[in-house]
Amino acid sequence: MMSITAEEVKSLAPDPASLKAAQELTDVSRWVSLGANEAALWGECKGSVQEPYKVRIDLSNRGFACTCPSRKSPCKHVLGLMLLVSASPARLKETAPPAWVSEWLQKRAGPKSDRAGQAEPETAPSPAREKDAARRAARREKLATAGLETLDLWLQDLIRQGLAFAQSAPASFWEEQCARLVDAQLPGAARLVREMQEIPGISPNWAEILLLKMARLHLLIQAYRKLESLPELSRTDVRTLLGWTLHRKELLLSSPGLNDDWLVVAQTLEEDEKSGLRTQINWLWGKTNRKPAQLLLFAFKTKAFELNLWPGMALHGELVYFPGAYPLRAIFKDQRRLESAFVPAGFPNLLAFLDAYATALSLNPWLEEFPVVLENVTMEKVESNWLLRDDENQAIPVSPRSSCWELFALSGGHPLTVFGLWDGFSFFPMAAWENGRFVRL
Amino acid sequence: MSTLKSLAQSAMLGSTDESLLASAVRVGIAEVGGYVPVAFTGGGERCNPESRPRMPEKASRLLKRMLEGELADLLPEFLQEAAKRGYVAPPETLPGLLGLGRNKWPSLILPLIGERGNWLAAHNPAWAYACKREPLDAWENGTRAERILALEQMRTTDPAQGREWVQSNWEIDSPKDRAAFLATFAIGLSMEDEPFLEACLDDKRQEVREAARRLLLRLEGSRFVQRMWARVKPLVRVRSSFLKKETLEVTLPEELEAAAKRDGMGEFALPKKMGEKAGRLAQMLALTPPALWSRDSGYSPDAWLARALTCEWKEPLLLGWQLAAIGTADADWAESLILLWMTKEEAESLLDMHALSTLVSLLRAERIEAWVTSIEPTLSDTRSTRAIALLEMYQQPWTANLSRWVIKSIQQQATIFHQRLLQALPDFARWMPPELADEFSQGWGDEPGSNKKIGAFLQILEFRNAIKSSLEEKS
Repeated sequence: MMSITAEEVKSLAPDPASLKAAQELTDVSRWVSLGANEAALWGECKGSVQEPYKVRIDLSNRGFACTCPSRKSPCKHVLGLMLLVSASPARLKETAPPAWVSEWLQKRAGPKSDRAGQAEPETAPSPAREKDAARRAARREKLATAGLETLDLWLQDLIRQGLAFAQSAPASFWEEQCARLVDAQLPGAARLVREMQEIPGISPNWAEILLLKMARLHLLIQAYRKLESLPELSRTDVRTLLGWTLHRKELLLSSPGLNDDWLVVAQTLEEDEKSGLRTQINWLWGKTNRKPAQLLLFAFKTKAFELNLWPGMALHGELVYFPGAYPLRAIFKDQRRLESAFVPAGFPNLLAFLDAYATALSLNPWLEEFPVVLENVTMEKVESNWLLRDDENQAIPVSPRSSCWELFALSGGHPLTVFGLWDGFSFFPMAAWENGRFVRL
Repeated sequence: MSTLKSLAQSAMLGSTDESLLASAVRVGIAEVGGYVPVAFTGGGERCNPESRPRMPEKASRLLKRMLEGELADLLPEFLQEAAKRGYVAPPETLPGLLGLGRNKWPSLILPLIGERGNWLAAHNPAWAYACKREPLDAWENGTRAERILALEQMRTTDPAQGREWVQSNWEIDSPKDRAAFLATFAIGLSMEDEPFLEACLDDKRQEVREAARRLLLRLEGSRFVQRMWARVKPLVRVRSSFLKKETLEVTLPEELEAAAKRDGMGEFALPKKMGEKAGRLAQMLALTPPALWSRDSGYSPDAWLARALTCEWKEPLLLGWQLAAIGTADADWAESLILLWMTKEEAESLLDMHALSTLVSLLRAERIEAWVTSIEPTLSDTRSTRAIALLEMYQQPWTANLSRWVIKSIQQQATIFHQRLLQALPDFARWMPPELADEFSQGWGDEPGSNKKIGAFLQILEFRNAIKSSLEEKS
């Protein structure tokens, strides 16, 4: 019952408005009754009519039902109940289900109980449910195909119109395309379009950055068209990027983890104003395997994240990567905090790092941010440009939008260990170590 | 061969090439994947090691929070305390400090930036004020603010040298600059400065003459003070009589001679309007050290003020003495004047109320403690009302006893007096001894957080306590 997370609810929501509406229903006073057992969650939610809506959630397979007339599926009441549980599981007291819940559960289990005596593991899907799921999946594929066709036309249009238009385009130009992609259940593609909006004017070479971003989207559309012919991991990359989510529970069960000491090297926070969903992006670095990992945490508004992480903190634990050709995103299977942190070991020079980047890019051409720890690099200022130099006098540009002066001050002409993100154009430093001391940038 | 750049250029104003995106995929991914670093030449300039210790880690964290805007008002206290212990700030805070120092508190920030700060400032023209340079170079070639800063530093270590600097450029500098430079003479002021200051009284510019007078007033041995005293002493005398109470016999000054005009009579602007002759008396009193009155006669400032109140010319007398007490930073006279304001209703109309807080800043903390803790809080009289105003104006460290008395009084919450004290409480937190934070978090009955004023008060006091203990920790 505890396993419902805000992230999962987010992935289930048909649109941001539902999520926002659901958020308001996490107030317990909106519920006439609430209950749970190991198989299901249920509650009666006050609505606009006298009779409260009866909400039921089947925990074994996330089936749901609600008596409200909404055409959205799941409706805000289902999402609201899930959110309430994700935030404060203790709110739902374990009790015996009322008749309207147990009857519904029995009906759902119907086909299974028909074949009495046949022992089946609980997680095994029944043929009916499988059929149901297949129908839903097919519908989603169809929506996605149509959504990506319009996206491709939109990209071609922008090329015809000229990239210069992107600089003066009204906000609606981007927002309408985003909304279309959200409707097509492609939230990942929508995010990429939203990111495009920020690029014009960002730096002198913004047109190149924008064109590469468009090229990547184009490649993504192409890849989706011939998804079946791709290797399995690339297939996963494409689907993840477009917005299909993997259930954490499945992942934890299916994949082996990587045991190591992990250092939280950087942390950023994004907040969706509409829904109030906060996404905490943590970058981790492994002590012995020297590998990066991205750990996302989700919470609504002022609710706490399920893990309390902060930059500079070290943990020991088993980390499971989401599958992908160049896996980065991960979750902890288990973890405990370590009392003392460490200085991460990274690449000894820039050529070694750029080699690794080239390899990563050949595995996943959509990799936009390459997390890296660089050892023995010095921050240099050449006229108004910032460079990071290694001890072989090779240098890469540093993003002028990062904390350049802070890193420059910290370096003082001396080499440091630095963590940051490389986007193929410039390096964005996020943390540095000065004689073993961690400094957040 | 096309590059991502050439493709972007052809797409900039629109392209009908339908394969452009496909080309961009091919070229773009290959290009970023094959990124070649640039060869770095030159640079490699390193900063010298720091000779002073860095502030403790806990203090660094507090500094960062303040630079990010949390309780930023407490920065001056932090900077001062850190500099007192000879610490330098951690390098990553330097850009924030140097940026701040352009507009605020440069003299508090500079002692903390160390070698690294000097080195960093040399790379950013906006931070030129923080570059390491010879004091003489800063004085001769700096901006106005830099020159004043250099001069202030020189006056601290070698006042005579500072005076010579100013004198050597006297003819070239603008009158406004000259007045500002002269003002730095308040640091390290001595009779050695007197001949030059006396000569400044003949300067063509009023602001220069005013600056010189302000300084000469503080030198009791100066010729200026001698002349003023000779002029004003005969005008105010104690008349004793066997039958009546003693009072003051005042003669208002008639026409001013040229010498008096040179000393600033007629030029000195009074903050209150009064008759021409009365105004002259107030001016003369304002430009005479008040200590001379008490010393010459043996009467205390209290005695002088009490007699002045029974006199027809109490208005010029009180105003003149108030301005003189401020001009000479005379704590005895300031205390007597404030006591008068606290106990006599009419003092409000006689004193310059705008300059009251300046007068209050001269008071000694023990005196404030004695006055405030002796009032009867059950009475809602002039004295208790003014005590609160006094506490609000006294923006300097309070004694522990006074702080305890105020907190205890509020915790009893008995009268309107306590209500008013509670309203002013958050501002008091800046001046109480920070180590009392723990003690003061107790005794509020229910949750201290339930009252916003108490919450804000404790937040500030606890933050100050954190500052203090973080700097006392070994680095």
